[in-house]
Amino acid sequence: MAKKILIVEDERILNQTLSQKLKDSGFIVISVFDGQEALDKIKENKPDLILLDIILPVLDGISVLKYLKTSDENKHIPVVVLTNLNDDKKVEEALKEGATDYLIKVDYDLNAVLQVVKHKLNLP
Amino acid sequence: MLGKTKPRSLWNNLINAGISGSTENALFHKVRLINLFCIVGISTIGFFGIYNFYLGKEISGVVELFLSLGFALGALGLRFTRNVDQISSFLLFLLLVTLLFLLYTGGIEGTGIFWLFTFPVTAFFLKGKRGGWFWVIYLIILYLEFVLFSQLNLLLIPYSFVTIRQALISLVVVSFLIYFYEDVNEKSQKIIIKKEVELEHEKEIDKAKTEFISLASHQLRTPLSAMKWIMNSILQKGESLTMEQKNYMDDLYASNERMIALVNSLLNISRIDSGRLTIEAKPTNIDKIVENLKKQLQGKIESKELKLAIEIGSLGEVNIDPKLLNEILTNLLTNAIKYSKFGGRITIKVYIKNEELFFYISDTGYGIPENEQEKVFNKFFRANNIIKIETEGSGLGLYLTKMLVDSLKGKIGFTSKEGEGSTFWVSLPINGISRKGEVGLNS
Repeated sequence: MAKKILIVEDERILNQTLSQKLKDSGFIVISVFDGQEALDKIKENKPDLILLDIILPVLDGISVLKYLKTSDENKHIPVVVLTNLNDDKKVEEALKEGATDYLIKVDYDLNAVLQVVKHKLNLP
Repeated sequence: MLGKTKPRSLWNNLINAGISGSTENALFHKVRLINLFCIVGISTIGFFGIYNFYLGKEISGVVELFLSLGFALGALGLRFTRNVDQISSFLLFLLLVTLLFLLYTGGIEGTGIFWLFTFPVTAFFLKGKRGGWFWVIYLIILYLEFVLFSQLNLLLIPYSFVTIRQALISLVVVSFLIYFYEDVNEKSQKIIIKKEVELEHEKEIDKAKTEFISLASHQLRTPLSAMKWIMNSILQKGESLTMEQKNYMDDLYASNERMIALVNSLLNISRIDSGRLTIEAKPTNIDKIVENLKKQLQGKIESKELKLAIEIGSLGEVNIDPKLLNEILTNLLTNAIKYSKFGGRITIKVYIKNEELFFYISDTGYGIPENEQEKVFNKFFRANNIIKIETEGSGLGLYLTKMLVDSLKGKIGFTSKEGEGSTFWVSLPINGISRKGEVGLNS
């Protein structure tokens, strides 16, 4: 069965291109544009993996991570943080709050992101 | 502030006149000094008062005890008003009256005349250069009246004219000496304060600059990633593009990558500049790092048909920050490739000696002209012979590399000959330097 990926990204272009890439590779993609929406979709859809931006409207990425940590049924979902923030403190904070990976968007092309997603889900 | 406030000890409270020095530092300092002056005054004058009682000089004793009480009032006053000037005038007035009284009753052979010389010291201390003079002149005028009294035989114990004259001259001399001391003191204080202010200002400018670069770089990265991913998407569906369109897209992609590299360099420099770089040493497999480096740059090496030789013993794991090490080596090897002629040779040599990890990266490329070699690690440096051949490059690579090496407490250097090639070497301590970056920006 196809895996469900939740993309939390407020930049329309980034959200759109990444969604398309993952859809083309056979994933079911749910894409949202802010942290609150992300929480709603997590509860509704139980994604297999979350791609999460840090700076988001309404509720930021760190808060989403904090929620996941406290939720027993969702805390096992791997979260790959995908951001352009280049701040060691933020990396540390995100990893402490349970992010599995921290990727700088500008350094990853779509194929590389896809590889990370596949790797996290143990897909070939 | 979130920090806990320390319980203040009785002693601290006593010394600091019950105020804390967090807000107005200069005022706090002054209040503290005057308060200390009062405390010393209370105890010494009080002691002399009691001593005079013991000696049977009741009048002197009473006056000194009154003065001691006055100092106590001054110290108490400091807790209710911050008008330091009024308090110090009050203290000086008390002292003045007492001194004259001592002179009047004690006679020139008594201790009264010595106490006189404490006045200019106190006046300059409490009132500073100008205010101090006002009080000293006031004392001298009153003292001159004393001379008059003496001439009219109005004093209890008569003074000889010579003694009075000598005391007056001494008083003036002492006052001048203290004045000059205060003058020098004040000037040096001003210089110190000025320097502090300048330093503070410089720091602020530096911080603003760093914050600007950091913010700007971050804002630049988002559109750069958008372009990157859009081009990824277009190139993916490459079948529908003509050959010409595809070539243009490839060029666009390469340009975007150049821009990304430049922004990343700027961001990294600003991170190091502002102390936000975190260094985290951990057991790192050097062979693997070199292997990955080779893999990562394989494409570029092949496209120039370079021969790459790696001389590395089995080094196993050393304690070092892998991310920074990788960045340093990537920068150096990228340079070696970039400034190699087609078909050239690159040699990487790695070994450990005396708790230090050594890397040598040699190329047979263009080399650096001798007269430009000292500028190699400067920001934006690009060698003249290179600018003519290749315009691409920001001149930030080696500058950044040196900063990274410095933050790892390592050394970097090179030998180079124009037309024959360059060898860059790095030595890094492997005793595991770690450092937490300071609190970052919320940009």
